[in-house]
Amino acid sequence: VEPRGKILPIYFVADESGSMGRHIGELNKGLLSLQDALQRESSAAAKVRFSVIGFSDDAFTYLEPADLRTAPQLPELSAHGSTSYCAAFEQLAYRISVDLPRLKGHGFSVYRPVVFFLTDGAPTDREDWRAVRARLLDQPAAPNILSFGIGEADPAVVGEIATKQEFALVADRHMDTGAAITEFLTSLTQSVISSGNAVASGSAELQFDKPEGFTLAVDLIEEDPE
Amino acid sequence: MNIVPFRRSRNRTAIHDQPGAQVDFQHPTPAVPDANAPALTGFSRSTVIPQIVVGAPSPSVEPSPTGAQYRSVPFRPDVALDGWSTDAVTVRGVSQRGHLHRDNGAPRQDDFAVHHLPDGRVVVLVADGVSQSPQSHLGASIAIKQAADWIRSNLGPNTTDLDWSALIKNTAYALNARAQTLFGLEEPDAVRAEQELATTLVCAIIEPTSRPGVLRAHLVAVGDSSAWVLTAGEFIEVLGGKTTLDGGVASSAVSALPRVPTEVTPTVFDFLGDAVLLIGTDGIGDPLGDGQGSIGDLFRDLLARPFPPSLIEFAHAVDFSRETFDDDRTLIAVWPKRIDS
Repeated sequence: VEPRGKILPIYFVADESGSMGRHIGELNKGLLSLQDALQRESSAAAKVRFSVIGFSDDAFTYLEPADLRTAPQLPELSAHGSTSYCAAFEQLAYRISVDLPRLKGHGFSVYRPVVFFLTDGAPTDREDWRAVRARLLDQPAAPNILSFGIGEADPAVVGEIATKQEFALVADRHMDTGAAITEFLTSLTQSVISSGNAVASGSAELQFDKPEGFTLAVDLIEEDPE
Repeated sequence: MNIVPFRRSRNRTAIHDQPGAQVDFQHPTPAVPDANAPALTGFSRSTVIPQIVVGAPSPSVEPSPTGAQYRSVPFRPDVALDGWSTDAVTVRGVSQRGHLHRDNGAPRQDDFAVHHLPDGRVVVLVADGVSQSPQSHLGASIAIKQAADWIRSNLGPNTTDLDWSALIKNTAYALNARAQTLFGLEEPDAVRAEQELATTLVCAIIEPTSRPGVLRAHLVAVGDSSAWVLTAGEFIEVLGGKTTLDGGVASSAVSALPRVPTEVTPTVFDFLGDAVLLIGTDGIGDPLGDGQGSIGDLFRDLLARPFPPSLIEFAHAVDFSRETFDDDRTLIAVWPKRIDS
């Protein structure tokens, strides 16, 4: 197989539950800016495969790992239904299990995937999403998960999604949700570019920028122990 | 194999090449050919010898000078090139910035030395500064110089007696000590040295044997650089492979100096005839892979000819352009001198 170099798969997992309705436009606009920015940063883009998964009652992969230099227009997300973290983690586990072998089969050497998980509310009560998340992290190519809470998201839950304490961030309570989404996407864009550049220079250190106005979830949990 | 000459796509300012010609930077001469224009050279026409393009090209880049955030002293050229022959060996070595660092102004983080000892042995040193460490270009050079000095002072008549572990420890110590001076620290600080100067290192000593045309190589490595023997068209990895696999996914968790491996055991082997010993950084190892792809073809064609390539030809091949392979590259090739040449 022709060696094609190292790449970093990045999965953006977006909450599309009904409560996102008023802000889904900002999310879609942010994704378009992300694509524009990556097209200007082609050497970073070349080292990243970007995927978009949306979840509400169920989860759907809108964009399979794509080269953002050549990807068609990014998908438009829409808000509806509930917040099934189970569906999101199941979809992620499935995608990683098929995407990584496929990329390797094309000659890529694949770094551990990174997940940017954005949520604006509490997960559906009746499901055991923690068990599904644990299964996702049980596979050999378990991803690093970064979680971002906006709107009504509970810092304690956001903290449980991420794979490291410092990977869980929550927007300040008084921050407008639309503004938080915009900040999140600006930071996501910068993180994708920095990580792509890091891979290009032979490093797989995850690069990520804390969005403006976000705080470590763990700090909020300590301040607010109820 | 898909190797096509690559022409620059961007228009560049042309510069008059005639004695006394003035360059008007306010109104640069367009690079587009003009029937009435005097003979021109300049960036656009300097690609009379374009980069060799393998598959899809990497975007073309005019190199930037070293950025202000990097210590620019000692001065660090984009490309370092060396090569020579003795009675027993022919050597070529080149280290160059990749497109990424040419574009963003980072200095070359790779470095190398090939040194001919008076008794006929050849020392090859290759270092690849770890990109997370901001001044790792200095780390790479310090490691090369220190290891070269140490080998010169401590190598006795039998290469097998060399204390490789002491060599590596001494080099790590030199990095810690230099970090202390460079950053004005109270005492040597291995953590700070690793943060700022971390570098991989391959040390090789190649010696003629009693059999004419047969060379013996002794190699040790810290980190993810690689060595191969190209023989009968196959690239045989001799340092045990670079890609660290971690749960089936690639990992860049290289162990690098000033970290010292618990055990340093040299790999020793003989090579002869048409075989070529290659030592390279991952800027070469990644695109080469197992050698069965088009970069393997490029180097098979270049290195397996009856006579080794010229220095410039060697450097030109290593400077190939291939999409997404933009890291700094260093490659050293050592041939047994052809007995009939």
